[in-house]
Amino acid sequence: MIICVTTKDNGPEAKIDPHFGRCAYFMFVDTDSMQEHEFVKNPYAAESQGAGVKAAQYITDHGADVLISGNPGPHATSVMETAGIKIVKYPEMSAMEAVQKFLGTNDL
Amino acid sequence: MKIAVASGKGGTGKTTVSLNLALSLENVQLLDCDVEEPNCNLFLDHELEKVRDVQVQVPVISKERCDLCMKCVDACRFNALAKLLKSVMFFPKLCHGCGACSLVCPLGAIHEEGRSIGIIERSASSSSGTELYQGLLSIGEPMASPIIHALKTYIDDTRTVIIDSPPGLACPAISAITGTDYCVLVTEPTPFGLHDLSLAVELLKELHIPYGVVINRYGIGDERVDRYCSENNIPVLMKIPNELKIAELYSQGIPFVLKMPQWKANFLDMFSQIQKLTGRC
Repeated sequence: MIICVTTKDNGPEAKIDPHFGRCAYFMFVDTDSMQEHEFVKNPYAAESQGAGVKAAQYITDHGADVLISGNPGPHATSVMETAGIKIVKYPEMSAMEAVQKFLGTNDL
Repeated sequence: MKIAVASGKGGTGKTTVSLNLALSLENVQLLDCDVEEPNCNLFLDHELEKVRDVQVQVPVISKERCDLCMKCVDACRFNALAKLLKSVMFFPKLCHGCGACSLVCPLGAIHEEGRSIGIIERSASSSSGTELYQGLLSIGEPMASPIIHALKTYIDDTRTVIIDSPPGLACPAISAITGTDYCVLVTEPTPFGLHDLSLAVELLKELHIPYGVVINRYGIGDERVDRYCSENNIPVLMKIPNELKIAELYSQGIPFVLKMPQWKANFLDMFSQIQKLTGRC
């Protein structure tokens, strides 16, 4: 399973970015090999409009199964719902802690 | 002659200046281009009739023909399309109706249909001196510019046309101001007023439209707007004092030239200044 977390930074201490479409980074974690996680700079952070749609398409193309973020907008939400991505809304906290929290509360 | 009344900052008195100028002149067409919340008719109280719907052309994608090649998604500058595993999703409120998606589709899977986003209305009777046209953007619609473009197709070049522009300096304001002969920038003598005035001036330089300033609520704030205008050789067309009587009339929905007829002369004087500055009548 691939979890995507929107983050403000790209280091081990990175915190959740509550913005979805205009977040700074996407952190992708493959839960099958918990060691590997990858940060990608959000290429759509400065779109004049529709950043959420683009970002949703992007994480869908990256194979994300779960998104952990703040509060994605209606367009992005409908793309992710159609793509079957589970949307999890957490308050600001460390991104890795958020992944652990999700895995701890969801017996998968 | 077409005169736009604009401002960077909202609430400086665009509608006040538009209405009082219109009511001081004969045979005027007044276009309320603040289509998100047109308010000229709160003061005119004309009976309005609907002229037409305003539509934008949006794509309809045939699921049968589409092979998910993604060319339309890549072509969309406005991110109104997303490709998923089995379908292309379309977001009408992001679409500007440019038609690029249907042009690039190699399979002819996209055709366009009109989507209504608002209406144009006008004064039902043209007996009174001022003929009002207004646009009304439907609630929840984000794009004002198509309504403003549609509204401006009703401009009668044989008359004096006054365009009450939307606030700000983004697409809707630019749509309203573009193509006019002169722009009256309404400001107030405060730091915010000056800040947004100076941005508006930069915009008008880009648009190559001559402009002058009306300082409303003159007497509050400070001298910086005066100084800015004189240092930059910007004509100050009129100063409207911060007067209780004017505010009271406004709160009752009465354009103040109707109750303070001495002001008609000031608006006529402003109009003749604009005629001189533009060399038009």
